[in-house]
Amino acid sequence: MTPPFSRIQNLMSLIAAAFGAAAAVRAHTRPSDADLRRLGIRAKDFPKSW
Amino acid sequence: MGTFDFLLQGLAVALDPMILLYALIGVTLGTAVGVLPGIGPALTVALLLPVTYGLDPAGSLIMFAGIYYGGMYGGSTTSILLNTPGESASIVTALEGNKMARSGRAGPALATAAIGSFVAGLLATLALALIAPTVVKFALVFGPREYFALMVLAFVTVSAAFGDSTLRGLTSLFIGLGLALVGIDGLTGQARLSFGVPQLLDGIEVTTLAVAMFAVGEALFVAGSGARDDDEVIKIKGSIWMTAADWSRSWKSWLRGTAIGFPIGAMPAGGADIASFLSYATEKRTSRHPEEFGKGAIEGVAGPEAANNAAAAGTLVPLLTLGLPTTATAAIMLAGFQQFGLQPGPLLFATNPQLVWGLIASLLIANVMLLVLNLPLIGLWVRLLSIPRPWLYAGILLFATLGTIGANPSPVELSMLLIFGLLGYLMRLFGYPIAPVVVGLILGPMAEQQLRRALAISQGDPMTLVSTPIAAGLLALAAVALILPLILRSRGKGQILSQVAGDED
Repeated sequence: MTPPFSRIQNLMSLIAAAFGAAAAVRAHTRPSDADLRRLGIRAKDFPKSW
Repeated sequence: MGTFDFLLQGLAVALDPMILLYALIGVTLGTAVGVLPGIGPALTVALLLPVTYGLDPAGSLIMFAGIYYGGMYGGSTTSILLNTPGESASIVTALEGNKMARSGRAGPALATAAIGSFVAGLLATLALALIAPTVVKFALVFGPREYFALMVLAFVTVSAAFGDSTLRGLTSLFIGLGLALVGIDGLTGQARLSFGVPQLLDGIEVTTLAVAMFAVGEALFVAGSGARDDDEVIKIKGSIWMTAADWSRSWKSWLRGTAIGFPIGAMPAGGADIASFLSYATEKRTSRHPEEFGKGAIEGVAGPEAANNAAAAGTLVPLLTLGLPTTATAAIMLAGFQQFGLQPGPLLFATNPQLVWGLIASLLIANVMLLVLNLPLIGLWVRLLSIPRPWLYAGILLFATLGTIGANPSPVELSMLLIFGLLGYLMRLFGYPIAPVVVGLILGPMAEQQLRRALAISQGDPMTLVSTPIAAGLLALAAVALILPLILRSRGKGQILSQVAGDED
């Protein structure tokens, strides 16, 4: 079982990735591959038109 | 009277045939702009601001809210059928939705998106109705210093905590605050920054700035970015209805999406796009079929679509109860309220309960309208995509110009529209967010007034700004909203870097 601290850390980095990705798409740019990976999104699946 | 009684009263207002017509126009326009890539709800509401100047306030505001909801619904259509999201909150829908469409399951993808949006919209609107009176009770004790602290929180959340650069966000905000200084000082009667132009003594019209930045600037930017016209729309094959397996895989995702989207939409610095990204990650982690993600998992459409609609309703909590806009569309809607001399906030619930509860009740009806409009008429919405893009951009520019001249027939106003439109285009081009400019112009004078009032009461003692727990708490929250995203981003990057290193090992 994952220790509580690691769970919190995972959740924090997931939220960070969501913030990062949202900030990028608001500026009409592609989110970083690292943020996408953290959110479980494969970079090649991200819509090319954005 | 309890919340339920107020909601019933609101339903009586919302069922007025004229109000129903406004709601129908709103959701239809919203769905259309959601479908069309590059045109979002903020642009549409901005474009309609000058046109609705002489109309019924309740009807106009209901129409604006309908556009917001409709935009979230319509955005999924192009995401699924074209892999081209209409707006940022629908990007995630494209990931699984388009894969489903390519494998011949466009119908169930569109159905789970529409029904999920309906379920989330309905539950989130009810949550809005339940939570709003509690927030209003809390906010009724606010004095000038608490209001000033609230404005500071709004400034931080829409500028620094919102985009990908704190500096750029704050730069945009200070442009807006600078523009807010133009005109006669309400306290001393002195003219400020009017440069001898009599038309500037009244200050800069929020409507003109909003139309210029969101409609003219955005249309120029989208037109200039060379959007392609040759995308292929995937044809809907087979039944549009979902199978029993689709239903059983979707309903939990709808509820999870609602639970994620509503609080994210309601919190300062939140937004429908953040909610949809988080929902996708959650669905992938909790799914019994994680291997299907990336190949067309229905949960990946159901969850994010519910999340983005719930977030739209969540945004209305701070907007209606505190007058705090947390998204670009909410900022334009705030301008819409002010255009009719209304100030969203706790007093609006006391002075104009019919309007507020009518608006909330209309959202419930708008949700039903959207479900009816979206599923059976999907073919019609897809046909909108065949409108040549240059026609669309030319139409937006024409409509923006006519609307502004119609509301304020003056060459100065037209010049301001063009100058700010160009400024909006340049800001978008260089990655500066435009929502903080509008928020600065709207909230700047109010923040100044409350600050000066608080300082006058305390005889100039600045410590009065942190002398009550609420004011100090709000300012602390603003500081957290400024710093937390920076920490989260750096933490996230560190975490990912170590993960990448681990993967490479």
